[in-house]
Amino acid sequence: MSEPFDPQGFLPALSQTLLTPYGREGDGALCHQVSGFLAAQRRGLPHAMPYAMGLASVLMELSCVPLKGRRFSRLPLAARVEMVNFWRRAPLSAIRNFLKFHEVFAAYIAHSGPVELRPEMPAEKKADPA
Amino acid sequence: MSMLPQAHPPADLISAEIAIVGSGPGGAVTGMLLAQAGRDVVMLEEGAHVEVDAYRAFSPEEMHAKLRNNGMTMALGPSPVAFWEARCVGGGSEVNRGLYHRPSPEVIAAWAERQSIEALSPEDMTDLALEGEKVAKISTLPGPAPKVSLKLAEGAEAMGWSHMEVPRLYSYGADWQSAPQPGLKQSMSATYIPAFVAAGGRLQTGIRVTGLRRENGIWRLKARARGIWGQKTIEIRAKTVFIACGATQTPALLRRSGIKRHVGDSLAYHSMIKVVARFDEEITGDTPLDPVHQVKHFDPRFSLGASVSNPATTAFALSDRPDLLPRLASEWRHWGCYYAQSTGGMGTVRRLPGFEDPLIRAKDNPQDIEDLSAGLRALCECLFAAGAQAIYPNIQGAADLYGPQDLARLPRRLDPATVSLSTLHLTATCPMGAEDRGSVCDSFGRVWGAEDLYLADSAMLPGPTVVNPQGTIMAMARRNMNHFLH
Ligand SMILES: Cc1cc2nc3c(=O)[nH]c(=O)nc-3n(C[C@H](O)[C@H](O)[C@H](O)COP(=O)(O)OP(=O)(O)OC[C@H]3O[C@@H](n4cnc5c(N)ncnc54)[C@H](O)[C@@H]3O)c2cc1C
Repeated sequence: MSEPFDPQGFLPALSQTLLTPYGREGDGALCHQVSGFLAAQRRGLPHAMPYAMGLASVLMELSCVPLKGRRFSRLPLAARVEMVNFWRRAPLSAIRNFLKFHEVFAAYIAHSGPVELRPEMPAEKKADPA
Repeated sequence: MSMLPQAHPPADLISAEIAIVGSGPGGAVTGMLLAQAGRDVVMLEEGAHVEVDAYRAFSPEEMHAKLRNNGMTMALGPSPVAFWEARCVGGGSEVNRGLYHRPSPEVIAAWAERQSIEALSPEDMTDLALEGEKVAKISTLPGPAPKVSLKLAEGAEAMGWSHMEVPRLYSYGADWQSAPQPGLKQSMSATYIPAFVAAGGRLQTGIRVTGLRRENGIWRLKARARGIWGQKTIEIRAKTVFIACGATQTPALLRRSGIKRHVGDSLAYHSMIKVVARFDEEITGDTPLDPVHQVKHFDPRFSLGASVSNPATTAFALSDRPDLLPRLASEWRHWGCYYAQSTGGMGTVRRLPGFEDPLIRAKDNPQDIEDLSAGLRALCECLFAAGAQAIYPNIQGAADLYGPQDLARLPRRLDPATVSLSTLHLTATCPMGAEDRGSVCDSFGRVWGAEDLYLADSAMLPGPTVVNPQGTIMAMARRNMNHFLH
């Protein structure tokens, strides 16, 4: 087991939470890997979707304040698991799809063995040159 | 060891008699034949050269090194369709499984008639495919197929359906069992592109062509270097241009360049839905060889196949069944991934001002959904006939199936809103044909209304290939090149 993980921000906190079904939430290296991979996948999305993802993250981070008294990333792990279970059943399909996106890639990385991504490869977001 | 020379930064101005944009199967075949005919050719590729066996297939590293947008490409619509598109030297041939079919005679005959394509015959296409197989070798597996693959064959046998081991673009050595990889994929970077370079062709990697215009009988291509070369604008001048950027990027480039008539109107794709089947015995991880069996009994409506089934790929196959993911680590050896694939996906490709990625839309096609629903049912029947204990369809809220009696619990007609569709086979966004048939290019790939401008990839095919497309793309590129050169 690698060093403990102290999530800074929504995506690292979500990544750690999504690893709990596999009992891997204490594996700091894996939490970092999942978080980094999710960030790269989000940047790779076409059109304005990366911005939409960013906005959704802010809203979900803050939505925990009225419900749990703190932002998502500041909640203890057990409370974050509750929030994720709540979002999984959300009536709004956009929330469920947001979660599904992160959940599938987290599972993919958790089952991929050690991952070494090259630093120069993340899909740079591009303006239309034409 | 690399079969290609060291990559080099691009000059500000590149001149050649012929420029080929894109180095996938279409561009690579075109390039090799032109260079071997003694022509002065430069091949422009947006991606980098990554050794074909540098990464494990379908690994996160491969996804980031070889796929456009890290694999985050999709067609939007009533049901979004996820697809993967390569961005590297060799294009899709570097990331695909190399499953190889010669062009389907029925499909070729139908294209020739529907699009009034001159001199296109199934017999000639078979001969062209045979020629191509001398450069990129095909073979069947050197040892027993994985159990996950044989299960599909066993089920089909029990149902009385025809099935086959599909040959692959692979060459296996006698030592395949002890080698780090059980064979060498005959991808374009391992076959046609080294032959192109050996014949004097120039390969320029890491530049994206963003537009083209014709001035004084010369094509001027505007391009942008990026990645390892840093940001830089480049001009390429050529008398003749072949565009082979793949089914979505070719129409996007034409549209950016002001060529719009019928361009991107007729995207065709094979829609795919996955299931995971659980067997009592271990069926995966038994061999380093990939699954290769397909059931083609129901062509052209749908086919069935076995997919690579390791814990990571199975996680994708369960994208709509997160409840099952926690069982993956302990049970994956009993789980196999399978797909049903229909052939009637349709859509459009348009430029989206302000963004580099084109807007790809999947159209609602009730017949395709009907075929896919029938395919899913047939797949489950086949797997139960092979002894599956449970089947988990990758559908939101779907019931697990525990035997043929549960088939009635499958939706009679899939609801596009609740299924995760994907595709790996996109074609026909700029189809060939007579001018009055909604075509973008003529019977040999020359773009209507543009001098010395040709298409040479999956975009020019007139429709879905029904079989895995790479063999058909390569045979068509060879046919058109023979016509161009003679
Ligand atoms: C995961 C996967 C599995 C598959 N499995 C199979 C299989 O088993 N069998 C089979 O027959 N088919 C398979 N396919 C499909 C097959 O790989 C494709 O149909 C085929 O590669 C398409 O060839 P193409 O030449 O049209 O374009 P592509 O292979 O897409 O190549 C186009 C190239 O052009 C480059 N390019 C694009 N735009 C520009 C630009 N503006 N400037 C410069 N360069 C540019 C791209 O980087 C790319 O390298 C699979 C595909 C995938 C993604």
